[in-house]
Amino acid sequence: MNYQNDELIEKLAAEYVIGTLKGGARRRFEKLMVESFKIRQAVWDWERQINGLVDAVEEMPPSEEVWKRIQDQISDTHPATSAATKPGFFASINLWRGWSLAATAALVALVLLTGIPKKQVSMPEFVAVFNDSASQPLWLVSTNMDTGDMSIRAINAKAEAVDKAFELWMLPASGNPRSLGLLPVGGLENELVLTPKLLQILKNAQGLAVSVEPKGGSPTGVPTGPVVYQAQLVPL
Amino acid sequence: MPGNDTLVKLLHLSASGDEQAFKEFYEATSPKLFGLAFKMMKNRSLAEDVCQEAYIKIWHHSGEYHGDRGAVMTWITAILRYRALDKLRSLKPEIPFKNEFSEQQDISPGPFKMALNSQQAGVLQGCMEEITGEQRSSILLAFFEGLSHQELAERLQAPLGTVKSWIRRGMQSLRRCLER
Repeated sequence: MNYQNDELIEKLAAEYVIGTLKGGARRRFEKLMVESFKIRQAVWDWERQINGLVDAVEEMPPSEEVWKRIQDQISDTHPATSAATKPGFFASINLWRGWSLAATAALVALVLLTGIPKKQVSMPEFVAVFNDSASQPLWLVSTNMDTGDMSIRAINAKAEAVDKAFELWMLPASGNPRSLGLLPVGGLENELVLTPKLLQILKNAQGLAVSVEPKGGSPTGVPTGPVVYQAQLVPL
Repeated sequence: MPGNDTLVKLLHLSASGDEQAFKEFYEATSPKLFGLAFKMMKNRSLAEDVCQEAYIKIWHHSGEYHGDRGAVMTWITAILRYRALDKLRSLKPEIPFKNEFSEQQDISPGPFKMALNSQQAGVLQGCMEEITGEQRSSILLAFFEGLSHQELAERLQAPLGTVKSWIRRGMQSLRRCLER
């Protein structure tokens, strides 16, 4: 079975969420979810659509016994992740350096050298490159603004530390940054497909940013660690 | 139920080990989740087990919730449902079909629609009304009773392929409708 097939992923995600995916197939799919952000995202998309069915369920308080049993089990265990302190995100944006001509030149050179990964290039292709302070490219992000296909390739990016991860954000025209998931490191490449809603936000976004987060990503849904890189999507 | 912002705040506090915040979170959300557990398990004691397991999981993963998961209710509904689906599966042969849950589980949209109306579920309700009756029934039976394709085919007395396509097409239509 080809799990890279978007249509298949979307179909399996739907079956997983509604519950008709059973037994071994369900377990296999759960394993794939752990490995693939794209698959997790497909599941989350369906959950957001369909879980509202719970609104129709009549409320029914559980017996007090249930809370006692829960309390017994949690009182000596802390949650795995502790809430990180949240420095002012937009304050850190001010520290960012703007997109420079040098960076654009580096990007063009890089694209000429490497080509756009895998996907067929069509006109609505946009790219962004995150460079380090020595202008070495760390990640190349390419996206198709028509289809929402996005590919993120680690060029020189290496893991920050075992317990840290890099998370990619887009900065909407207004409101909080929106996560685009964890960034690959060590030459790996991630592919994802943005939902129409996220794609719309991206089209109007002010740019992309990378923050350092605990392993597994921001616990709060907004950046919690320092914002270390920024880049603009530019048309090819 | 408090708004999503309040639930997010309580989750964050829980993630830092604040048991009192988690209790508040539990009190605010458990009537709905337990209602769902009971609807799925159709048995109070099993529903309590599922509910307990779900909240322990929520406690341990409270720091992992993020906006891409949707509203907090969406996230905890997913946690509870997957737990209940696994439990239903593991119990399958032992649980008789007839049970303490009312048998008038009408699969026509009637009671569902009424319940939705009373809850102002809004957009999703409108979209559920747009799909065909067969699609709606199969989606609701899968969602709330954890039926497999095969079980749906038996319950709805339709060929397996037909039932699969009801679910598939129904969900696609719902998605299109919700994204409009």
